[in-house]
Amino acid sequence: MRSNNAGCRFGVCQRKTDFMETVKLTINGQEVTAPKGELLIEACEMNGVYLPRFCHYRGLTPQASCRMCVVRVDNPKIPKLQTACTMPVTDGMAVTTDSQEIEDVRAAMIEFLLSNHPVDCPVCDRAGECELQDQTYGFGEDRTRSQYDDKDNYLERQISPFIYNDPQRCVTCKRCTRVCEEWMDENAITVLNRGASTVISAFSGWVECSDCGNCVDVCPTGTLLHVPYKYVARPWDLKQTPTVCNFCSDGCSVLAGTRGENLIRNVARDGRGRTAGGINHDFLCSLGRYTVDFVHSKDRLDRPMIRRGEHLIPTTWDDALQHVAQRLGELKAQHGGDSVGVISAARLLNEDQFTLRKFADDVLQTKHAEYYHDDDEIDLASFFRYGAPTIATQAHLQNADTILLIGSDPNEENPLTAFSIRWAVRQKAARLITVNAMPSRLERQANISLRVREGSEGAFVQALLDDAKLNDAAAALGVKAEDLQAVRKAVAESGRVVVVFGDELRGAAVEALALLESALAAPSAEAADAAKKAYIDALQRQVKSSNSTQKPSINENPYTYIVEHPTLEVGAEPVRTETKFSFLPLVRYSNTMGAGLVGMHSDDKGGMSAHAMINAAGGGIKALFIAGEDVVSKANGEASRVSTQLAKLDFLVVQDMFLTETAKLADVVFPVTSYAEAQGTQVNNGMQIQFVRRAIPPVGQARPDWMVVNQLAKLMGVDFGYQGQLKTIFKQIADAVPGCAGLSHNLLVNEGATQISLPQPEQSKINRADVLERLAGQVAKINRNVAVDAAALTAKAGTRLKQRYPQITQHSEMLTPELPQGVEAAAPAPLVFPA
Amino acid sequence: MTNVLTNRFHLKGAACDIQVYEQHGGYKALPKALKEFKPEQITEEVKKSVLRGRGGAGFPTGMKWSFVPKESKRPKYLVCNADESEPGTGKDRDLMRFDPHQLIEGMIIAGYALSSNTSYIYIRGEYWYIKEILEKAVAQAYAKGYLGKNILGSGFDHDLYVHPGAGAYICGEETALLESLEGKRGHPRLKPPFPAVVGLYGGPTVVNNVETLAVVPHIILNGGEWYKALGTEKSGGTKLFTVSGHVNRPGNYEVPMGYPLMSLINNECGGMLGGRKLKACIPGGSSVPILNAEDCEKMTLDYESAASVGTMLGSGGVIVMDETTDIFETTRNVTHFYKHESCGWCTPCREGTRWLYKVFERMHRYEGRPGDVELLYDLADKILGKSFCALGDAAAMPVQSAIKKFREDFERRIKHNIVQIQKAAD
Repeated sequence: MRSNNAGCRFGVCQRKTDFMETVKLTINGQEVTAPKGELLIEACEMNGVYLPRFCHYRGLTPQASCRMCVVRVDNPKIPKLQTACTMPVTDGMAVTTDSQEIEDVRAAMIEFLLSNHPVDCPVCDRAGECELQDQTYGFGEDRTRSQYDDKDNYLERQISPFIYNDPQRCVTCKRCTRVCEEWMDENAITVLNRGASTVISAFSGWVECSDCGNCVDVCPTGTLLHVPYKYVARPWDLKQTPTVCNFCSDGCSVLAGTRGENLIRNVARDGRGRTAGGINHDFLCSLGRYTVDFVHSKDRLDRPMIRRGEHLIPTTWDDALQHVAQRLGELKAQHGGDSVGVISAARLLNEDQFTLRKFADDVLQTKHAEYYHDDDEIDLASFFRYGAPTIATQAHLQNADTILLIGSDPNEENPLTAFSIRWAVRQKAARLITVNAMPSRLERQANISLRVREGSEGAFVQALLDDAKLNDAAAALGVKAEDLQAVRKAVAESGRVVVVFGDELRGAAVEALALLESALAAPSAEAADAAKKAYIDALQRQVKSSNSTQKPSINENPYTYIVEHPTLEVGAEPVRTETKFSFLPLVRYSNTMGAGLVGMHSDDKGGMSAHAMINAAGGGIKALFIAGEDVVSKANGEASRVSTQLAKLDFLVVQDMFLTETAKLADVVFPVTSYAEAQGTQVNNGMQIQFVRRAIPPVGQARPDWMVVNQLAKLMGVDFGYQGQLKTIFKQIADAVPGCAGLSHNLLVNEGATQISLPQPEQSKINRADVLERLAGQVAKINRNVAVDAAALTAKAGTRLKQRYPQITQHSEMLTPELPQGVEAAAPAPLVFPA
Repeated sequence: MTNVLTNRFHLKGAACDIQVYEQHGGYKALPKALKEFKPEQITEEVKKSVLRGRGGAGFPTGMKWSFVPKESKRPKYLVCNADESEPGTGKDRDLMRFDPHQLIEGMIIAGYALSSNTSYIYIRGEYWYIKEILEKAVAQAYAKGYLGKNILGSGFDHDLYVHPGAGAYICGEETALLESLEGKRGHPRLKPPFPAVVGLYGGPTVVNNVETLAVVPHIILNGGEWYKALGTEKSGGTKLFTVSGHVNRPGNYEVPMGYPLMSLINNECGGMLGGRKLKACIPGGSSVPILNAEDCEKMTLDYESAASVGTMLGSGGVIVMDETTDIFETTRNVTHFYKHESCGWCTPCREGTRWLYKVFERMHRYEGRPGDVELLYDLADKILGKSFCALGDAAAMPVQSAIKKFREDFERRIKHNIVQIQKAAD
């Protein structure tokens, strides 16, 4: 544990300040330093003086409405008490925060707030992590003069499938409405009515939004509550495990709240302001937050199953493993190792992928082993062909000067990326350029927004690379040439550029991204030098500060992982890169990057891709070992063809959480763990490797994927040398995988997300002419006569998530909620109280 | 009696027509201002006149104008605060319905002084009929070339829009007014930055009361020194007072600054109704501390004298109460108003006014408990000076002053506690 600062109740604030100007001020007679322009409330907290607050939330617009943080500025020109949350520190300022006068005001504000509060803590889900409780204990009086008949009573009600609202508990700090507006750009919830009747609600009484639930996380009281968490557990009963979300490729950290063997909730920030310290700070999306219930779904496989004729019959692990080992051994002996294929899901952890690869190599001796990916996913092999262009993390994105969004809709598919983009635009005045066929809410933030012809995104890369082909590219994209010229100019003149691209970029266009650096480098030599120097300075400071800060260790207290930076900071030092361009490929799954990195692909060995293996079933492929992937459900419109193919196999092994359509065809099904039960590492789209911590023991008889494979290998006579330890697997990964050298689980636990650095592409090795020619060929194929059907594209937007996570969406009741009776028929009328 | 602002009131609204207004000395100041004055000179002239804001706070108008930066990337705006909602005040209503062109002329000159090309009249929603009068007047001014492009060949452009509010008292607060004008919820804004630097749509903005702007043509025509000489040394000119309550002739009266309060009641208003004794008087709208008869004798109608007796001139709504009045009931009424109109932004005002009213309510039912008067006073004390904007102060000051000066009216509600009386009867 980091040392807890005496005055700080919700976290420790020792931010790095050595890169910014500081001012000296006096707090309660003690001279201290603080970053220039910092708000007084933060400056006080940094120096060990905690000021109570409700409405202040770092990073949100100052509000100054709760009046808890009042201080006396010792300056005769300022006769009134001032709110510290709106006052920037200035040099020589002297403030008093602990006088009788100020204590009286704080106690009075608490008394005011409690005068209309139901004080129903025993039945409130927030009790125990409620800021109103904490502030009352810390700063309030032990009695109140308000009487029961002084209170106005409002009914509790549900305002969305995910949110409960109890207006009477509200302190009207409006963190929720600000989060909705500033983080999510949704404005879904707002305040209704006036004065003492003010309530948080939606315009129609029923909240229509993306259900991110951040408003509930930041709520200091029990006004907003998560529906799935309602009356389920008390916060003090929960064990909070920091782990990493398993859904999109952004890789957000979550605090998994567990009680006993049950996963109860996922939050980004608990009521006491603790976060898991991940790249997402205190932000989390709907999928990461509300899909916890699939873990304990009644449909989870709880024991292995083995086929007896038509039926899959539950059996013991020993039987199932023996059977698989024997059959695979026979097939290998009969048809050779290459007759067996191994397919893994891209969401499986590095340790699982690595073990599967090893299993294919050392045990089955097949060259066909690959993580499942569709042809229309980002072609990472092309992207990394000449080396690794600088990969952008969320921090890069938040500090970019220009963000170029090509394809994809991060709002839906990568909510953290969308949040970072919005944050960069709002707080750092970054320039956003969107190039997209489908409508996206991010266009609202864009400086330049190009709505292009579907499938023509490659032409945009061509236009960036080659000024001469700009007019042609504009025709292919279906946009005006001057708009494209404006974009090119903006990108060329800009500082750090982050290119965020989705799977709309295909083939040579992805490969050509590596050429951007040389084509549109810094505008002048001086600027390039200055950027380089700033980068080196920043690196040195980073080294210095990482030497000076004491790192926490997992062994000390892993479950109360309080972090220094619970929220994003505007004043934080910008992350710099060596190159002008950095890239954020929005790959589909949580560990797509990692699966490729640890070698779960057959490119270099000449093996078949996952699709090719399925197509070759019954021919070259006699048996398939499918880990965690429902290949039948994922084959859009081809489900019956894929099942027919799988039926041709001599032997099919599936390991999964649920009896999926694929598992139903299997000869043996192994139950495996979900992300909450698994431990290991995964790599997000920013090439950051993160430690996934086990939050609960495996459900039923489920075992981790790597363990199943390891046991099979042992039965088939090969010992991977794991000694039953995850750490050993990771050691082998660190030794084998480029860029992972020197990493270990312990290090990842301490450091958090660690970016893997791979060698930059060697510009000299790139066959420029060839790439450009292929790109030109690709662009030439675009049908320029196709009219853009805006309505069809709009309908298409927002349908992709369910295709990606069929298992989860099917087995989480929260994603297909049964609304309370009559809710859909008639939404409740907005609450308007008589005056 | 000096009639400056009200010298066309005897026309009974005929001056709404631009020709009548011109016949009676209207639109003389505008050509003079455009031809003979530079924008800075107008501000100087207004500074000389010691004109202080007539909306309530009494901030020197010339100084307010001089805070506006000369160079600004964003357009500058002038906003006329016609959201007259202070209980007991109705002077702006008459200024607008009897003489709308006087205000419009003043606004064009003020716009010229600020080099602003756009101005708005934010008018109280309930004054819908006055909005129609104003809109007609604005249309006439456009037709005559007093508004629009290149006014009177001077090269100065000015547009004027009339915008109605929707009935919230808080929208009379200048920053909440700007929020409302921008189409948002009427909440006060954080200051600083002050509207003079960052105001409407982020541009430098001056917000002035109707009366303040209506004075401007007279200052231009007759000079700042002339206007100052009408009043006292520190409070220049004349001011409109709306007298209501127990007097024989309630109404709007224009008197010079420094005029004794009792003379206003006894001469202009024809004395107390039914010859009864004066008990109390609120001199500047419901927000200011109440005066007892003794203080009323001492007070003259200017900012300094008001401060010396512990009240404020406010918006000039003089509420006169005779000996039959129960000050507890009047204060309860005022508190109900503030409870109803609190915008809900900050804790002390939102919860404080609600709680105050709850206590008032039970005392009104003769169910007051011992200590309730002290509770009222203390609650008001906890609101005063701690709230986000001045509405909290406005709610707290009348309560505190009423308790200080008329405590017996409050105590009676507790002494005659109905529950205890019933118990005794049983």
